[in-house]
Amino acid sequence: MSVILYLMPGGGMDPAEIARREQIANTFLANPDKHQVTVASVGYGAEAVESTVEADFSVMGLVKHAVDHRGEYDALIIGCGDDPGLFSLREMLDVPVVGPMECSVALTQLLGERFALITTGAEAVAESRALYRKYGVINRCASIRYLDAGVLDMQQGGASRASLVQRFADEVAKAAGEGADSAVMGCMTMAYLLLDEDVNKLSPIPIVNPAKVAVKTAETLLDLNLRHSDAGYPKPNFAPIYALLR
Amino acid sequence: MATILYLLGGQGKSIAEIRRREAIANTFLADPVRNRVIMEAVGYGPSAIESCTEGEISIVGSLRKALQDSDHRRMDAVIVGCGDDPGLYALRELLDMPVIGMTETSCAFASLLGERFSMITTSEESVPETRQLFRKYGTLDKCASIRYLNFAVLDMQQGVVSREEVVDKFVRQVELARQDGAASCIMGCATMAFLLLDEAANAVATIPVINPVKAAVRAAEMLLSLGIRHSDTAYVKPRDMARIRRLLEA
Repeated sequence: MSVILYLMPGGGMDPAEIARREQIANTFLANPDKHQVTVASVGYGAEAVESTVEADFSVMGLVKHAVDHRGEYDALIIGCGDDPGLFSLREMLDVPVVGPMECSVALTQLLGERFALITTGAEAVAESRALYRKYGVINRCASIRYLDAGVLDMQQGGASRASLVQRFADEVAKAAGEGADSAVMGCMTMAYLLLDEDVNKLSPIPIVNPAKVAVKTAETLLDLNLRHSDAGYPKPNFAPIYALLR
Repeated sequence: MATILYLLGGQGKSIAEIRRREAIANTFLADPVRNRVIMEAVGYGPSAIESCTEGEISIVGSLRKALQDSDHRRMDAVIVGCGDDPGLYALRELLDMPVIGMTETSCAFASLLGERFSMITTSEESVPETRQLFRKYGTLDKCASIRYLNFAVLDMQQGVVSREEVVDKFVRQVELARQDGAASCIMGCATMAFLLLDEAANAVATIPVINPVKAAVRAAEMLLSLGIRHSDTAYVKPRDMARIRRLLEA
């Protein structure tokens, strides 16, 4: 049995919500006899990752947790739609490291020429555009739209699921009008609300749930015995980094 | 049970070879309880796809067979069984189910393994065509190099060159690709994929090798389990299907 660690940055999430996400994440597995998903939170730092400040701030905790718990997992998924620390974690670790956004965008390539991002708030737009430039997919990004909902409001029921489904469906339709052939959710809280399952039925374009794609990608990398390349993510001199993490 | 049709364009492979490949493809499944792969050839057309010409003339047969099979609800997803992805977009226009191109999928997969990838294919004649394919997919800037074994597809299939020779040359090309700046390698030909060169290379090579058939089978399963397929906005359904049918059925 291999363990896929779904590691959420920051802290403050209700343990019941962590348990709920773990239960849902395990339903995404193609082969639950062979793989299991463990959901964990770093346990300190930002309560939600919305700004670049929060994303950058969260990397230290993710790397420290991942290094401290090395050997306890066979693959790691970063539990945030901004993929914070993706390249750093690949430098540090010898196991597959999956960024939900990176693999979702890769999957949209099979669905059509251009994709849209539907995320939470206006502050995520420029950051996402920069991420797509870094990933070399900006020319396939047709639009970035947002629900104008706070992550914590969505998590804590401040915005009802029904209203989020409606807003999400509206933004997807607008994105299709802007030339998007598929839509990716930008936030894992949206992903764990399974908005795709309501909206895929009525949407003119397919919706990609990054939590699902991340789990399936981790499984695929494990089964195919592949991980990121040391040529792509050269191993650093570990000693000074370990000293920094202590 | 969902059926993934691995569609071999053209003709000429023996029934025994098709069954052998089908058995191997089924071992690539993540969920063999829910999914299966069936492998079928169009039955006419080119016997190997090396040139652009062979690729393009194989498409009509693939479209015809895929449409008939879809009409009879024989499959739930299609994999185009050739490293050049011939007819990929046309099949998506025709069909309401996931259609997977192994090179398109492998390039997407390579983007998770490092900044740039190399393609290792069969022979020099595939190089310009592959470069154009990557330009079309928008991944050319992630391609560090395109290398080749200098073996013919049929020679590899029929054992005219031994697997050891192919493995040896392949591993050397993988190491050269790394020097070209590649962080991973993809194979350009399904025959190479079914020789499982990745398994030999991954044991010794310093960068990961992606087997395009494995990636394709997994991508088909992934889309099936997600309940999504390509978008009608990108692959617009033909305005007059009757006209298309007349064309294909002639």
